[in-house]
Amino acid sequence: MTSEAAVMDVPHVGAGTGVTNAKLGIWLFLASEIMLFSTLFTTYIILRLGSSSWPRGWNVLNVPMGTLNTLVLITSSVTVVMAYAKAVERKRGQFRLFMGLTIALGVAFLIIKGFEWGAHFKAGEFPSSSIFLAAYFTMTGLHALHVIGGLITNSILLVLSEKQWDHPLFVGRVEAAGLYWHFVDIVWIFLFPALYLL
Amino acid sequence: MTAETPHAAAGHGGHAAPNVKLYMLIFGALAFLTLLTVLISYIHLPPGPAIAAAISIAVIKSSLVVLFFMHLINERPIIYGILAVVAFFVLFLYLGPMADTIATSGRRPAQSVPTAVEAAR
Repeated sequence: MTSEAAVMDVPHVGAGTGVTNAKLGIWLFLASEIMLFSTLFTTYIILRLGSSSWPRGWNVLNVPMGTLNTLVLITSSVTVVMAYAKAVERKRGQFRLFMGLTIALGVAFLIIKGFEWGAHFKAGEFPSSSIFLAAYFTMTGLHALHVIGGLITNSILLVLSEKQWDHPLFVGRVEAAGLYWHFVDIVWIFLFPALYLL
Repeated sequence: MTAETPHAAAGHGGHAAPNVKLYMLIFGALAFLTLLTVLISYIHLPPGPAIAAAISIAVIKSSLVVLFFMHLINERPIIYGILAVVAFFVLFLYLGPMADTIATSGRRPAQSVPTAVEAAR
């Protein structure tokens, strides 16, 4: 490794910002994501306020499955922050355990969501069936895509932990991936009551 | 000096310091608040109080995640600055269209659309 390459691998804390480039980058990315989901939520609110009738979520959606998915995602937020804690403490075995659990919970979330969507399709309910269902499929679909993105990132980190555990950037990458995963959890925290319970 | 390595910074090399005991407490609070939201929904409150209760609990839950799991409680000013800019635009994004909707509620433009809404169960 050249000295220049070695310098590139050292996570810099900018004197002007006090945070690593990775952390600054992920927060800027999350800022754009907040705007993306806020646009969807605003559209949902406007449609709902402007409609002469709107179905109550519990009449159309499966509340027990939505509740289960909320608990699954909250638990995955704990496991991903535990994975980060173990990365900081340099305990590779426990990091792999908690990151593996996070991935498993993310997959469980998608499977449960798949059952829900499948039941809707079986009942002849599609995005074109109503504005409520269009909003439901759009918002939960975009959220599911974010879950898939997080799963890919977390899986890559799990694989990289084998050979790049001592890489100076590794803990920062885990922290950034964790921040993204928590954001995905927060979006669901708002989606669940907005769609299922109101 | 224009930059320093994280390992020279305080705590865990520029990364947030983990607190496992606190994480478990927050997890308990999040699970409790999730069940509380669902229980309140089964009371079938009128729309106003129901929305207020559900959104309040969601804000508390997301605040717990942001402050403690995402370590925003110990974050640097630059991150607060980024989020302040986002908060401004998000507020604008919500309040602008809602104010317009309320002001024009007598001629609600969306009312010309919703035969599709009414088709929902």
